[in-house]
Amino acid sequence: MAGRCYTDSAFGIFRPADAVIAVVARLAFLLVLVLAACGDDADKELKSARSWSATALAVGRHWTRGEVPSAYARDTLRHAADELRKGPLPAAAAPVDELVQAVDREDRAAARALLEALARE
Amino acid sequence: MKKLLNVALGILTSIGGFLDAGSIATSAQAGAEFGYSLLWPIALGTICVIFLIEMSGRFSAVSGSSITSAMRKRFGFPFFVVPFAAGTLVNLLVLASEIGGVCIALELVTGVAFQLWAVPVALALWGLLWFATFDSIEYGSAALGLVTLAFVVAVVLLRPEAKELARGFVPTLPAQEQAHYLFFVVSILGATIAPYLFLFYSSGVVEDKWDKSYLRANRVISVVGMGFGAMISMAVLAAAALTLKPLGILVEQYHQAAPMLVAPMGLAGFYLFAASLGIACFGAALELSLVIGYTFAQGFGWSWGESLEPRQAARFSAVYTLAIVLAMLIVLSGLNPLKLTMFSMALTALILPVSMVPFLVLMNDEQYLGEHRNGRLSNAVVLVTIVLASLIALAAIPLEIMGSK
Repeated sequence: MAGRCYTDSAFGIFRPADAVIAVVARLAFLLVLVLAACGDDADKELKSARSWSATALAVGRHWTRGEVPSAYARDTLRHAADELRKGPLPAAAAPVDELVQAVDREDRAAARALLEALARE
Repeated sequence: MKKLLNVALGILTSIGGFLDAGSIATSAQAGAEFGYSLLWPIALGTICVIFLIEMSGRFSAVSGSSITSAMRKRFGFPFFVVPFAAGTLVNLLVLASEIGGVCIALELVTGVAFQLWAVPVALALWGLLWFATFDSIEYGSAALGLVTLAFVVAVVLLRPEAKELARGFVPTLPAQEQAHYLFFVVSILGATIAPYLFLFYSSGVVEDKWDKSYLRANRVISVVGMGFGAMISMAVLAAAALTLKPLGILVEQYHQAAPMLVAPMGLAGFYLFAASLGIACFGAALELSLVIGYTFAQGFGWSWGESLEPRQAARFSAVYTLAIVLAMLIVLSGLNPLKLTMFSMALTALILPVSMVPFLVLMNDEQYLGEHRNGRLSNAVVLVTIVLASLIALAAIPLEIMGSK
């Protein structure tokens, strides 16, 4: 037992060496997590772009059915187009821009046709 | 009869006031990305917060003192200033994220940019605090907050598979994106175990002049109110898992979360989502403004109380006024309210040990609590909370920076 310090507490025996090992192990685990998070930036950007594309389709569909107000649909679609333009799928921004124009004109038939064409693609 | 009414109102307040920007943001994001698999941190955080709320109510009912003022008296001002400064900074950021949530809700409905709503929302917040009483604020915002039950209704309409839902309560680590998953675990815990909740509850017990005869009521309110409140948080996660995840929609902006109620409820769902976000955040902003005022007044020994006229508690009123102005300026700066919320949750998690350790010492102090001091179970739960908090503090900041870009 030499070299070890034991402190009684209400919840059992406290061993400093074990506590240090636990903290180091925890920090090492966190470092691995952080490094893992660093490595997949490109994946994240692609996932984010796909998500904005899916958002645009969902909001567009809800708007054509009269389930969301035009102000919300316009804002969200504009934001989706901006996010798509600066991400890895810039070509996907063009149909979303067309959707924005359809919402501006309150032209639900054009929006519906556009969404159908996108779904076919 | 009066106590029964108090219990009923307390439960309603806990349910109606459970959701805030942090719980909506973390639950919606978690459900959209990981389905039901992050239900367990909400359940774990809720168990911790039930104990903490019960303790804070018991402490104030038995001692007649708020936690903040007891902390200053017990540990002295030089020690008290550490949790005080850290808590105030974080509460200010959380207040800004709640005001931001209200502004976004108004943007959703009107299409007017959220920054333009910052001044009117701050004025409405200040006006209510200045002119209304504690009870009207507490019960009024909680009654309106019951609109958040719309998330529970949505989940019922969406008919989730019971087995799949139940699996979400078993802690698991996914094969992919483990770092991101753990970031959500700590964010959810940070959002659920929010220190402002029990500081507000403790001050409310003093404001309402509860004594030892309210201990049973306090226990019922903590368990039932917080338990049902957590159910709404879980419903947000489940609704996002059922509607957003299958479409591949991640919640990087509040605008992306709105379709979760539109899918089951149509146009009514859209307005219910905006109302839930706006009312939940407004209620939390009222509580946070008061908590910042309480912390200063109780910490410095000034007169305080939302039921007093502002001139009777001038410095208390001046502090919450200043806090609202500062939070409004943060929103006006144009920071993304969702990112501000996530950052505030990580900071909340970071300061948990700073407030928990002195709180635990207080809860075991015979001078304050006599025979009502903590038992082993309560101590163990708070200790588990502290360990969780230390993990959260170690993991949340780097994961927030690396994982939520």
